[in-house]
Amino acid sequence: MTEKLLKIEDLRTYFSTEEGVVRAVDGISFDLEPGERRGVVGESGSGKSVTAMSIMRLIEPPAGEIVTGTIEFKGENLLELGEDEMQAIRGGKIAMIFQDPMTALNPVYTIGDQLVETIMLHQHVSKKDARGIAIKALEDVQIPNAPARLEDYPHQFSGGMRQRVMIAMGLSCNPDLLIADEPTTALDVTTQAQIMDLMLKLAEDRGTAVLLITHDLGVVAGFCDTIQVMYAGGIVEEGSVEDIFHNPQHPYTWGLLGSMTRLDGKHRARLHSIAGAPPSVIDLPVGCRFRPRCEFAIDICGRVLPAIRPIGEGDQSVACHRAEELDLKTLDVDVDHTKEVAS
Amino acid sequence: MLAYITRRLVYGLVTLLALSVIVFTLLQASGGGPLDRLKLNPRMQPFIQQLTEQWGLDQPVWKQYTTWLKNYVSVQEFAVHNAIPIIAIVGAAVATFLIVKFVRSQWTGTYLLGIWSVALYLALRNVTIRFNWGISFQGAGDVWDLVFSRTGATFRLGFTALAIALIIGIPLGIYQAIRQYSFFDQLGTIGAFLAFSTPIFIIGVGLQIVMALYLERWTGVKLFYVAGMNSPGYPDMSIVGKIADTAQHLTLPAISIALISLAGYARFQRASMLEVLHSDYLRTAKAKGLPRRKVVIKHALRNAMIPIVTLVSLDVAFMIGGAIITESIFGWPGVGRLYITAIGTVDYPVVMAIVMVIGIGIVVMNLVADILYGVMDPRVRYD
Amino acid sequence: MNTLWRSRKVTFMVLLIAFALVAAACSSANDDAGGTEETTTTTTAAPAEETTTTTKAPETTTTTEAPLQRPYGGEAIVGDAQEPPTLNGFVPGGDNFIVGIIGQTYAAGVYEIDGYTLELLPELVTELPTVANGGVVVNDDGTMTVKYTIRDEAVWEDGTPISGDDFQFTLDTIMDPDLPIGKSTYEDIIDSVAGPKTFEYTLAQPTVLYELLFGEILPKHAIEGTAFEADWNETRWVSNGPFKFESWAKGESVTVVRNDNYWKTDPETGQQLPYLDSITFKFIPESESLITAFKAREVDVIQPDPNTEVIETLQALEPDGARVEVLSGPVWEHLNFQFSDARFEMNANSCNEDYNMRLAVAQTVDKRVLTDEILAGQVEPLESFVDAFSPTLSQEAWAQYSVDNGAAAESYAKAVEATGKECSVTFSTTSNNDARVKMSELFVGMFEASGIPYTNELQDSSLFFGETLDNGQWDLGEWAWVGSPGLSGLVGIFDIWDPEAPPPDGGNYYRWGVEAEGAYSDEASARFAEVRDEMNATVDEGELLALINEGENIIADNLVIIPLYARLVTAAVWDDEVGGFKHNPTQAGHTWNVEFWYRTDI
Repeated sequence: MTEKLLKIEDLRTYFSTEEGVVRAVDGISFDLEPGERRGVVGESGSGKSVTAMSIMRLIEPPAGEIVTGTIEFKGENLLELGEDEMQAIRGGKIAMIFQDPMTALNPVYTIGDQLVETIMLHQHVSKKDARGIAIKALEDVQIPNAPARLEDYPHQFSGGMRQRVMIAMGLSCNPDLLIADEPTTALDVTTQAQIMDLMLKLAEDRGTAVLLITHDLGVVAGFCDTIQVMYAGGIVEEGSVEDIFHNPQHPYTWGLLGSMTRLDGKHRARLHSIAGAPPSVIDLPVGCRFRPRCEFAIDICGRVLPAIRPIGEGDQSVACHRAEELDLKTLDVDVDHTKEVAS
Repeated sequence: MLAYITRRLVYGLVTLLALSVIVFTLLQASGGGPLDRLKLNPRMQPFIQQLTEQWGLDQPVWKQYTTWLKNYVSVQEFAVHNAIPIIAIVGAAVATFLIVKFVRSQWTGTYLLGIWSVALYLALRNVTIRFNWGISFQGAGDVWDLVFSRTGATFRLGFTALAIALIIGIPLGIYQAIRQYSFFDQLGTIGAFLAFSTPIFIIGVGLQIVMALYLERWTGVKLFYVAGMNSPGYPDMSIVGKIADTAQHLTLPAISIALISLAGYARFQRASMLEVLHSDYLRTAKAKGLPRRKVVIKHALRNAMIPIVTLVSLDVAFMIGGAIITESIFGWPGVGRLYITAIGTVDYPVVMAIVMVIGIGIVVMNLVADILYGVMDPRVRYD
Repeated sequence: MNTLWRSRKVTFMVLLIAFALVAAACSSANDDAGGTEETTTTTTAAPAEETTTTTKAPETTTTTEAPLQRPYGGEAIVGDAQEPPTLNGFVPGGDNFIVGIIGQTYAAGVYEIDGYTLELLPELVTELPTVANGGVVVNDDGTMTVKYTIRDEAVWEDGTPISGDDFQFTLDTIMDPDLPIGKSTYEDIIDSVAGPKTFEYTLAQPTVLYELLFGEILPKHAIEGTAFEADWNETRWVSNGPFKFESWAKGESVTVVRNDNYWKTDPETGQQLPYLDSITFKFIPESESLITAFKAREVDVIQPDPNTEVIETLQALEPDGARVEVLSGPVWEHLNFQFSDARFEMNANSCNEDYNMRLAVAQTVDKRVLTDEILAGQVEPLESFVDAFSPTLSQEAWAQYSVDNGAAAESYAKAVEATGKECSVTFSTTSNNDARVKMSELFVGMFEASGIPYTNELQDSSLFFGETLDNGQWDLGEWAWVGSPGLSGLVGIFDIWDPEAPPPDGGNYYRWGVEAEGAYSDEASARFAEVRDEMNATVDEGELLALINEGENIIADNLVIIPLYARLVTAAVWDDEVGGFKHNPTQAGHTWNVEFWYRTDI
């Protein structure tokens, strides 16, 4: 068995607010193989981004704190590293790109400045060489006339172009892991597809592992090898893309799939939505966190929090008491028994 | 850019014109006249009439205004005092024209350079900037001389206060933002609110009593003066003595002005810095692996300083008008104090002159602020 | 008199400037509120008032053992809230009090005012001309000639003797039609003759006002050929006083230095005057700061706003070596009635025309309460305006009225009956003077006790002195006049009741006897007009005294005004630093004997 690139165990990241302690990430564990592209899927507030920020160790005390857990990157526990060592990993070994390319670049410096800065930070090269690398990086993300555009400011680029710059910046130091936090959410559909294709190509070419955080299952389908579905700070289901899409084991995953717009028109007759709202991560319900919205909930769901456990023959795991007895794939999401949105 | 500046200047002129009309009208409407102090002497009546006619106070308000405006913008006074510069520049222009037209040779450039060097030298050497702003109604002579005899003192006090406010206020705000909600931050916040809510009068008088009066009683050494800009024996002092004397007089008024600006800058810088610290691009910078110091100094500071530029630029404009209250408290011979005296004696020409100087200062500093804004923020474009 | 006042006008202008700045700020901008504080001071003198006379009872001087010799050298620093707009006392702005205060150091004229006796003393002349000493002669043709003999030793700072030509030049300068100089009385001079050490002039008719003419003499040799109005605002011509002008740091201070050619010697020590090497006048507009500066010994002498709190603060410094002089001043406050129809704009039910109404007011207003409450009992109420000038001449003509609420109610009832109106009183004065505001508050209770309907309608001083007074738009008013020594001042004050001289040409703001404006005129006002005319036509002291007495009685018997009290004046000096100081409550001010000041610490 090859060494895991990333191995997270029982990670808990809590935030203290005036209303109480927010358990944003509450005991998750997962692994990432080198070169693996994993989708992290869930609604807003499910803990996806906090997971990413925890890996980058960008959770700012005193408000946020990683309470327990280990984040092993290439066998090294990131949580035990000093700030200096962590700085070498950020941007160098693990790069991150963000949701809104419009605001993620510093408006008062040229993109050349910002790229060269990153490159010189992690690679011991001269400014001139760093510039060469930057031009190459821009060319890699298919920005035309790259040498000239280095002198431009972020506001002189379109949204899609800016995200390309972000990707170029992220990949300029050949990281082992790229965390992409909703990289296409702010972009229009056509641009989204172009960016995802570009990322896929670059990641495949370089063998970069990617942690793609998104709420869009459609994006995941075309890009990822594996998926983990998060709900209220915990992972409710994980497995290969194929398994999850064809054989969802958790009612939440099943619901998410149902709410997905299929471009092939298979399910276009009706769009399904999951009734209710995600629970407050301050006042989590006892038992299964999805229970209040789950149409299959039974007595035990209200008492015992289901642990995640392997199911079936593959690598699929699920956190549901009734996973075996429910045969969700046979239920057509088009049927009428889905609950209406209660609001 | 040039078009932008021109347009802004035109707007500025219109604003100033409107300002002058409004202030002039309000001055007239506020009641009282410059000759009121003579009125209660029954033997002064013919004298009052004489002055009323001489100063045009019997004219309708609009006529008084147009007379004032005509004088204020008149270039005649300027021309009279600048015969040599004007002749030099016009002469050089004529010579340039003639040489270019008739004496083309390889020496043309040298000729022109020589002519313009002499002309500009003469012009700059002899230029006297002065306009006819009228005569003070309180008998204090030519208004231009009066106002500009006070600007030196006002600048000395204003720039010192500004320097103190900037040097302390900006780093304070930055530090508070970085250590948000720390003890120091809370202390700074309380201090700023105290500085804001204490009337400047109390601050000034308090500093005088504690720092000038009691400090001397306790220590037996005169460290600071209650009032004035220099001691009577100043001209005969040594260089060191002069510097010390200046500092002894300047410190207290400068602090009392700086305190409020300082609190303002600190609050503003803190807010602006906090906004930047929570911005996406700062997260990007951190995610790139930049050390915290570099994140703050390179990425946060430059952005957080942009709004401060406007604030400081306008403060500079306000400074031109002098610190009205502080100058009075500390007996500082500046423009603000002149302004108060002029209002008290209903000295229209002086009041108008000072209001307009401040107005011009604001228009110009606004423009400067905008241009600086553009220099600091590449997103700003002038069109 | 510099007062710390929360002037509505100043506040208004400060707001105005704030507004102006905001208006001028075209682009969005954060304006710093630093400029809009409300408290502030002004350096304006309270609209000042008229000159009048007096000879106050000589004060007994403390018998200190005078040293035979005074030390020479050293400086004194005089703190003042006001800065002169100009150093030229003749042109507009020169009427400011501080111009005269500084002027005492380098300007001399025919007379000076003795701070101990408050009498006029000869300065540049050998003696003051009077009818008795032959200096004043009423000619057969009804004109009057005055003759000065100039002291032999009197010279300008450059050694040039002071001559009759200088007097003539002074007269010519004042009468120059192109110069904005007050010409009153001087314009009645129909002839003049200048000699080397004499000067005489003839007035068209006898008038005692000659007394105060030629208070400052100009040096012909220094001024002739200059632009008098423009050239002498920031510097001085050659001095004929104990000091000479040295420098003026605008906004800060004026310094004068010893005039080595000063002609006077100290009669007590026989030493040449002055003793000090220099005097600096330091301008600190904020009265609070001025007092702090005095406490910190940054200034040696101050003449602060004489409120009781300040006086007590300063008196607390006496153990440390300070000395505070509190004197009854020349500024006398008075209640008065408007007689013209313009008063109905303020109060439609004004019954000022009825004597009983005025009597009711006199029987209602308790002056003793006012002096106790406003001046902490430091001064007696006035029973006549003459007291404020010359107690010896006063008949205490207002003593005939005493406070009696019952009698006041009866008088009021009579007035209501006689006029057929619901008579009431509306009181107006300046709202930015603490003492007057307090007075208005006290009046409320007093009038209520008499059962007279009463309202306060105070106004900002700029409005009150700027418009209300001119137009006669008040019912019951209150303000102050200022006195000055000499008979001429007392004669001059009668002008304010002259039925022939209402504003704008005269000073009879009350319009008493001015029939044209709806006021009543009767035998009393007609007789008063005659008395005033006679006063202005004689220089005989005996006749004048009789006329002054009659005039006082007419004003008192008719209750044209009600004198209230004289304001305090005060000055403080660090006695352990500066000796020879004596405050002078008249317009001469505390620098009147500046040549006698000396350092006590050298």
